[in-house]
Amino acid sequence: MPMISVNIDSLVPDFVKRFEPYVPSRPDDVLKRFYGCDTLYRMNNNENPLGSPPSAAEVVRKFPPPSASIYPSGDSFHLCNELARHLQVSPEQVIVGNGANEVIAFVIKAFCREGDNIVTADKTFAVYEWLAEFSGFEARLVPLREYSFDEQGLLDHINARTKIIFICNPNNPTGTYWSREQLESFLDQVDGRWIVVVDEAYFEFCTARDYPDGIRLIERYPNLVVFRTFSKMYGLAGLRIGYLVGSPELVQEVRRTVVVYSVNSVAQQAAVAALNDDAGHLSRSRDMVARGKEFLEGELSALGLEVVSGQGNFVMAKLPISDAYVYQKLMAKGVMVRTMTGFRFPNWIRITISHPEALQACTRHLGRILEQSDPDKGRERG
Amino acid sequence: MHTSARLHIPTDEAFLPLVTGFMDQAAEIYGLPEQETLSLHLAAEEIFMHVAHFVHPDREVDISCGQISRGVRATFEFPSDTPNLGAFNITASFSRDQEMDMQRLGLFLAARSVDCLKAERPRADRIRLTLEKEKPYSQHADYPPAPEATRKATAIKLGEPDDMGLAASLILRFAPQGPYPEACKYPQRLVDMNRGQEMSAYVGLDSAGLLGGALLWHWLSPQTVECYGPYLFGSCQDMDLAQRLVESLIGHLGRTSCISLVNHCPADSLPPGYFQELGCLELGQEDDKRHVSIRMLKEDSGSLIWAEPPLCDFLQSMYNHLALPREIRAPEWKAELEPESFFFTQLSQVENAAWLHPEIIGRDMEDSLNNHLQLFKKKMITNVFFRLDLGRSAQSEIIGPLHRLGFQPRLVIPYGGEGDLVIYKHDLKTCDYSNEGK
Repeated sequence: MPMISVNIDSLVPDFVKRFEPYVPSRPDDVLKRFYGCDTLYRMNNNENPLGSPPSAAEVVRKFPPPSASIYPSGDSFHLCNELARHLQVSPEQVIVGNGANEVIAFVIKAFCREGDNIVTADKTFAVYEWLAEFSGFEARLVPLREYSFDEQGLLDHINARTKIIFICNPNNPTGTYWSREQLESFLDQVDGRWIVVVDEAYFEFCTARDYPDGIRLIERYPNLVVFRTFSKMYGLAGLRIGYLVGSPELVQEVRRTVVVYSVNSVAQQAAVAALNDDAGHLSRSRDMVARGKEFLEGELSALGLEVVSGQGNFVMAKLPISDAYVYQKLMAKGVMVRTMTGFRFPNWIRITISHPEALQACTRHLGRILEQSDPDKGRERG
Repeated sequence: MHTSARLHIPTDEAFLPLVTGFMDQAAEIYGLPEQETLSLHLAAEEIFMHVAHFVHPDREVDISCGQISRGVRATFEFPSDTPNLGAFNITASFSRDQEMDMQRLGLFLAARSVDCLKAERPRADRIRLTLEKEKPYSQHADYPPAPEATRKATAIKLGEPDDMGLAASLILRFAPQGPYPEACKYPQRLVDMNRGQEMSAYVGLDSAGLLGGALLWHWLSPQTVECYGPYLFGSCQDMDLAQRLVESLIGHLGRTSCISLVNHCPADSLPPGYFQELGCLELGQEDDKRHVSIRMLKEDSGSLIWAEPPLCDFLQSMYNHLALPREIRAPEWKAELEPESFFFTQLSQVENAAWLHPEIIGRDMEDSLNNHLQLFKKKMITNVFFRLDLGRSAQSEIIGPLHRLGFQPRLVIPYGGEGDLVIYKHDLKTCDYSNEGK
């Protein structure tokens, strides 16, 4: 039988053709095999090396196998209620998704139609830009100013077809943040005309006194949506669970685009347990980050590198040679960092704060690689 | 850019007038001049007749003709129970007294009527031939000289078509020794390539809007970009402009599918810290070495590479140098080869070079390669390069013949083809011409 001829290309929208598929990193076992390393210190994804709070870990450990054959709560009922109680909002103001990436998609789908655009920074978490573009919407990108979101620049890039402004607070990867005063000033200027998303993925790591809690501003600014996640501080990245909070009328509209049943049962139960954990997970994690940052900033500066460090569990450093080359050399030593070329910071790397042993391995090997490298030729000497 | 026009017809000689009429009218609509349209007509006629002769008449052929910025591109796609394509080689010849040769004359004529002819298999049971016929272009010398920046460049922007013509002129003036893309010798061709998104540039402008520098680039494969420069024009440019041009390009490519960025740069204008030295290509003279650098843009997760033993040591040393994780294995099975090879040949006047692209590796690969070497020798072409795609398993078959004929691996461009691309150069001193004249 001859194969049926199908012109798949003619069925694909142009905006999808323009978009390149994201190729994620391979699993750790494969990476270790290719790079020939026995251990792997993961300092690339801003995961919490302390893992999840003990009670959440217990939920995962004791999850009854028969429950795996039953659909989860379609709207994460118990978790929404628990989040509402913790955040002092109503359950109707909360939508839980399969990671924060999914709730970004919900918001874009709810508010954008053909010809619309979103506005965000050029050097920030890439998913706002990606999700907009492969949904067929323009992403209008505003250069950072002194590593920070540029308030006036964002306003200047808004046009008649703008629907959503995405602000990453603190910004990934620079760690810069808007204070409560700045955020309120921006929201006042927006004056309810566009949706403003404030992504607070690193909220629980933030210790600056003037760092704002966006959720407290929702009542005054009903066009504000706040994203948070259980992937970072709560150490549940592998279960994919995040959420958004907004005004009841805004969330009601977003709910139309929600993919129900997308959040699995273990994730929902572990997230409830994490919220109720009082075993000091948050303070232990913050202490580890504070000590780790101090160590890392000192070591990286001693290597002569420019360091950008702010809120969040990561720091950024500028290298005198290619970030991808350093990544590959570090991987061969079992140290995994994140290259920043994809964030439009060529030759920078971002390092997640981890255990002292991992940080020491990172700075030790990085120092050797830089010592053996010749920026003029971009390769090892000799 | 127009969409292409298409024909879907039986492989029956009776349809020849339809094919040639279609090609003539489409080429006219797409603005190809009369002389070039005639050449395309001839190529289409010969290819269709050849396919009609070899493919059973109840099968069908898909023909398309579309506009590209440099001219017209046509494709023929048909079942592969057909023809040997060896007659497409630049070395092909025929004699009137051999019936088979007469049958192949059509392909021979077709290959010489167009500017580019490539063959590929979109599916195991089909062949697609792609032909390009370009508009005629004047050489650089026919254009008035372009003014360069008189003050330090302050702004960087993506070059527009007009900027490309000016950049070509300035590159030839300020970097006459190269390297630069062949198209710079024909400024309007570079302009058209920019319109067709085949060649792009970042340019630096001074406060009067005059060009102070440029960095040209094009996609070599879906995962690799090749860039030329940065070139600095005028007397008041410095490395700061070169760095800003390089950072603009890397920033632009950082969120595309590009994994590796290959650089060809005039001496001393590449800012330090952005690229790794990949190697160099000698172009005949001792002192004429083209340094090639590379920058990886993404975190490499490792790849499996299939290669025959003569190449393995070289590959291992290159991968060690680049710190790229690769597992090199010998192929576990032999590909079923077609009788005849077809190597698309690209000639470069700038480098006095011939670049061989293996379109079809056939059982005659060693003889065919040797014939190519003999032809290049007669034509005094001193630099012969061969591109071997490690992502195409059938190409590993040619590694042995390449080494036996004196080709030496010089560079590996990660992701330069479907997989990593090895650039071989032929060393004239070790060439075995024992088959010459047979």
